[in-house]
Amino acid sequence: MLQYLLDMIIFALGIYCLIAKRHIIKKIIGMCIIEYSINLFLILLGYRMHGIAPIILPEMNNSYFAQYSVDPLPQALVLTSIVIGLGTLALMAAFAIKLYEKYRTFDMSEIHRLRG
Amino acid sequence: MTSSILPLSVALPLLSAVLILIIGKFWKGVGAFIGVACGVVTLYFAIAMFDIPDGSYWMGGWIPPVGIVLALDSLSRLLLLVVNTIAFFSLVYSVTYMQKYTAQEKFYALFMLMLAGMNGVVLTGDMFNLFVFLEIASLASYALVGFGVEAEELEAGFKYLILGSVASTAILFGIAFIYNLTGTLNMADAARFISGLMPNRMLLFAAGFFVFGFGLKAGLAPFHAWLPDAHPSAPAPVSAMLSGVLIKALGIYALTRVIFTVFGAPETILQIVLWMGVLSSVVGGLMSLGQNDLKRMLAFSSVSQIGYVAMGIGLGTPLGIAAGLFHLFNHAIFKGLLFLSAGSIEHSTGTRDLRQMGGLMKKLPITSLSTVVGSLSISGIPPFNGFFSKLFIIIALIQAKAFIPAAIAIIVSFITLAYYAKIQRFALFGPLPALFKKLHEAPFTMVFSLIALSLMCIFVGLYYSFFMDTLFHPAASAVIEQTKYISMILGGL
Amino acid sequence: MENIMFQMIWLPGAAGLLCLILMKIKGAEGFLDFIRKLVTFVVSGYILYIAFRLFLNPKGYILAGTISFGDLSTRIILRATPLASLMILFSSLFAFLTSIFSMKYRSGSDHNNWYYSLVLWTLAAANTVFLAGDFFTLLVSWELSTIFLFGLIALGDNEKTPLAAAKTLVILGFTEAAMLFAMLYIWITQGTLVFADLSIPLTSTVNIVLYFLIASAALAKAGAMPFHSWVPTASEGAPTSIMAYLPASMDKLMGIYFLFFVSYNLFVISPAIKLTLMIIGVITIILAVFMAMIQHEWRRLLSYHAVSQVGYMVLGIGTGTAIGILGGMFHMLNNAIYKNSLFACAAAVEKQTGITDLEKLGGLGRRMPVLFFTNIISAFAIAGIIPLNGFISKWLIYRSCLDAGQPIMFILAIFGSGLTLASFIKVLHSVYMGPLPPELQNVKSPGFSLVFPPLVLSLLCIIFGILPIIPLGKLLVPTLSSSISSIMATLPSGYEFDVFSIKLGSSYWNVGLAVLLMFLGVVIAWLYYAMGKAFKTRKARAFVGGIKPGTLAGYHTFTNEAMRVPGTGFYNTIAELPIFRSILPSAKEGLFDPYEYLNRIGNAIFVNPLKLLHNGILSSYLSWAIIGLVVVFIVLIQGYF
Repeated sequence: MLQYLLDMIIFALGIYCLIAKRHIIKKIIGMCIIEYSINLFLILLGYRMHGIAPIILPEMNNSYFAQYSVDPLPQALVLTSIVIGLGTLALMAAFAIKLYEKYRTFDMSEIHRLRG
Repeated sequence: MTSSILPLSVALPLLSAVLILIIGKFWKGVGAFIGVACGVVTLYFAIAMFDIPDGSYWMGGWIPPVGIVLALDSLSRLLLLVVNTIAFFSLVYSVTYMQKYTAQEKFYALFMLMLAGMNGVVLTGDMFNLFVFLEIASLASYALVGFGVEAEELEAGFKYLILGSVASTAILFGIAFIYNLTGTLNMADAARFISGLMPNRMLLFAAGFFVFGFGLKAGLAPFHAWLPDAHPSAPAPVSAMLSGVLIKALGIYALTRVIFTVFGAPETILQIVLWMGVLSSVVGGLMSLGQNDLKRMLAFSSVSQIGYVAMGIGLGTPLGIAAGLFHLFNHAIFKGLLFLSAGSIEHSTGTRDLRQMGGLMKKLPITSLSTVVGSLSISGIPPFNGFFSKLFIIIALIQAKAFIPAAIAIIVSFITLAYYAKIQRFALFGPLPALFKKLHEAPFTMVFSLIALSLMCIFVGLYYSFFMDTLFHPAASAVIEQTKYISMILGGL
Repeated sequence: MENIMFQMIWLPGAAGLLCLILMKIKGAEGFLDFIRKLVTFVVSGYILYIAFRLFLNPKGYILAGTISFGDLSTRIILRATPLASLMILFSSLFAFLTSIFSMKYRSGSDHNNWYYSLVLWTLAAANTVFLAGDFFTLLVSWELSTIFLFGLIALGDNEKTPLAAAKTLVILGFTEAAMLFAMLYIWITQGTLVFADLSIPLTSTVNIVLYFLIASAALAKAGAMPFHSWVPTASEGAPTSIMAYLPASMDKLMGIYFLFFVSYNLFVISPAIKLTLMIIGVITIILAVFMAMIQHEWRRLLSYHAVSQVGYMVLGIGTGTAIGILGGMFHMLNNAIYKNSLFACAAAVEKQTGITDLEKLGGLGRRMPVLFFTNIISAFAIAGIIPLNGFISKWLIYRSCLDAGQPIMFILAIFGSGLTLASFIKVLHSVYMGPLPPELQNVKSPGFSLVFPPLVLSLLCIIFGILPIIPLGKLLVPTLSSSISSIMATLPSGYEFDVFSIKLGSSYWNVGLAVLLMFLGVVIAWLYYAMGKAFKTRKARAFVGGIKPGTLAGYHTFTNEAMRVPGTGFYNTIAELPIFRSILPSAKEGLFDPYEYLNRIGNAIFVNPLKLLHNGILSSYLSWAIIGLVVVFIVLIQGYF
């Protein structure tokens, strides 16, 4: 249970970073922290203490594998999730660069032309 | 196993996106061609789906719940029709409209990605797959919002990106919770387990994350703040797509699917959705009143109207859901129409500020008329389509003894009338400013979409009972009959 | 008759569509315009003919189908009642006259295809309102007529048009939303919307609310306070022929008919509600007539009178006595007749001169004698001068006020009538008398098409006035008796509406005697005038300070223009009354205008704070979202544990 709680704390830290930090790059880092927390969460779901890697070797039988291996599905999900995260990160970085060119600032609290 | 056009309506736009980028390197202008062609074909697929019986397609031939399935039921059919219709008209409209932008190929490629994502979300029967498609559509839409790379567009895009990513993460958390409890990602399979588990604290957390995530994608208050920034900043056809269908496919559809099909429609969650709908309709309506930027007003109006949809769906009664879906369908048509008209006005006059416009009726007759039709429809004036869907929603609310939401729904519909009257007042009627003496009506490809969508507004209004019977009642029963969906996908398994 | 009833709806509808598709084609514009005029003329004439036939035999019942929303359903019914066919007769008459009037008035205007189609569609919508046998049909056609009005106002072409159209749509739309809510409530509780099947019990708070929700739509359409403010705003933005057609005639017919219908057929209203209606009526009469007196713009002045006259109708209907209702309904017909005529006169002058500002007009009596005559008749009719129709309906209303034991309202109603007369003296003087301003030297006489409709209507004013048997004996008493037989049975015994006289219990009104007295009065006045002429008065040129008129130095002081008395200053004293002076500046900016209040309060309380919340900063948006998430969690946990 503790590890889930710690993971939630990482998530909350990410949210805190997004809300409290003004700097665009710090916000991006906050976003990354949130993504790490969810990836970690997925891994934790499938993890088994002292488990084996989810690869069926020739000498294993199925019941042994099912008993000892960690759940392979979350790992596959995490891979996908990381790829998506990469795309998001690239897009965020691109936005940050362009925003700096237009506004001449990295302070997100000064970027509020669209309001009201 | 049903027909293979299920995966095709996802794969074709994906393929076109890649093709556009590759061929576009050598041949400028191919984007519009491939884009419109793909739009036609996917629209054809969407219509052809009505001939195919309910069923599922096993990706790669793996049996569910091991493999990923694409599932087709009345709800998916309805959403596919909405998505591809609006996409088709937006694409046709883009042909001329986008000529003022550079990098058109990238635009069409992103558009196709967004379309593929939405079709995927609507068709998939697997939760993680839903997340992936949702992210594809979302990422494409973030990029499209910032497509103009002007200051405001980038600002809007970045806000949308951050809020949208937080929502996506929350959705993934929800999926993880469900996986942890049920050990499956297949919606039908998960639904089987969940019906025995409720109420479960972990499931409630999952539900909360879903409501938050999909609610944000749908633009429901209090998660709506990104929407009025992002939707007006995109190029007009993309605004039409975002407001017309993206918030519905990614938000309302996914929310409905998860709440009803996976969770089995627990009362508390429905109540939350209902009251979020009430809040959105009020906030969106009031904010629209205070706007002078035409497209921003339309965007706030989307918040307000999506609130109506949420009210109908949150009611959970068959009539309420059918009415909500009817309004979803109508809103896609008239909000698409209004954003395209706004784009046409901006294209001709070069401004979006209502106070600088005037007398456009004289110079842009078709655009003005389509704006009037859209406005009357959205304000719920008979015999246009919006009247009937709002009437259905209000009737459903009163029948369910939800008098306060019903009264609010009526008041908001009056507020809607007030701000659309403002558009007429400032933009269309009155004397023409000297600046606009030389305006011309938009070119044919743009006008075509406007006329077609306006006619649809009237047509759907006149034959509302036909559409209710063929589209929305079946879709509503598909929403409610959870067991039917489960047996459709899992069969005898 | 069923056949006729269908024709009344689809024929104008189809003809309107035809007019609409005859769009602008280069070169053929004149021909197309001719076709449109012809179609409108022929169709509205034919509708007038069949309306007359329907009136002679007002029977008919059409079950047009069933409409259902979910498990709610109602039958769609069109039925002809005597009262409805009377209304249709008049609405067709106004459409017919409008089609004649528009021939010249709209020549050379833009968007005539829209104009004619909307005029015809309005006729179709109004006929449907009158024929509707169920609430749903009524509501839909009612809203359609609002939309058509919106479109017609939008055809105006000045800087006030946009506000006029938007304000009209918003105010009428607001009351229609209220009516919609009431309709849905009735539908869900009663399971049907057919008027004949509805039974709404007498006394409960919910029903009083329902009544007012529905009545608000009727009052707004007719233009009674507090929903009146769209009428004056619309008058300046809309084409004036449209003001004559819709707010002055059709909307009065629809609004008052429906108010009557709701008050006595659908609900049975209590004394308290009657009193409320009467108060609304009196307030409308007095406030609107005061506002009318200080106007300098002809159309705006007329529109305030249009509002003020609605007060009499509401007052009459609110008394709940047979005489009062009779008077109210008669006043509705009369008002539609003379107000249409008055607006038509204004429109004719506007068409010929391009001016609607009373200060700039003058001396047109010699150029437009027929118009002058019709305008005098209609103005005297609205002021309730003996022996015109307005007098009789007002007389009935006064009488019913006394019967209902409301002497104060009686006095106020008479007072309002006096002010109306005063205000129209100002109009007649400013427009037709005095010297002709130099700019108007070349004004031509309006042709047949502009003069004929108001002439017909002012002749109707005279006929209805001196032959009370026609409007009261033949038209109204039988139709009302069929609709509210129990109330009409309370007319004083031995009542009589004879050719030249009315007998109601102790009251007796003889047109012949009155006309004789009037004639005597006129003769005496003429004699007095002639006597004054007999003693030769010395005529001299204006001469001030030793400067000769006509010289360059005297040019500015002694022109015709400077010597002219425009008449707009007649009632400046009223504007300077102690109470009025303090509220006048704000009255001009809409003191009595709920639209403005709603606008300001709504902005201050709701819109602006919300706009401040949307401050454009990402962090605050995110924190809303997170707070929302937390609330969702709390609600979920509350719901289950």
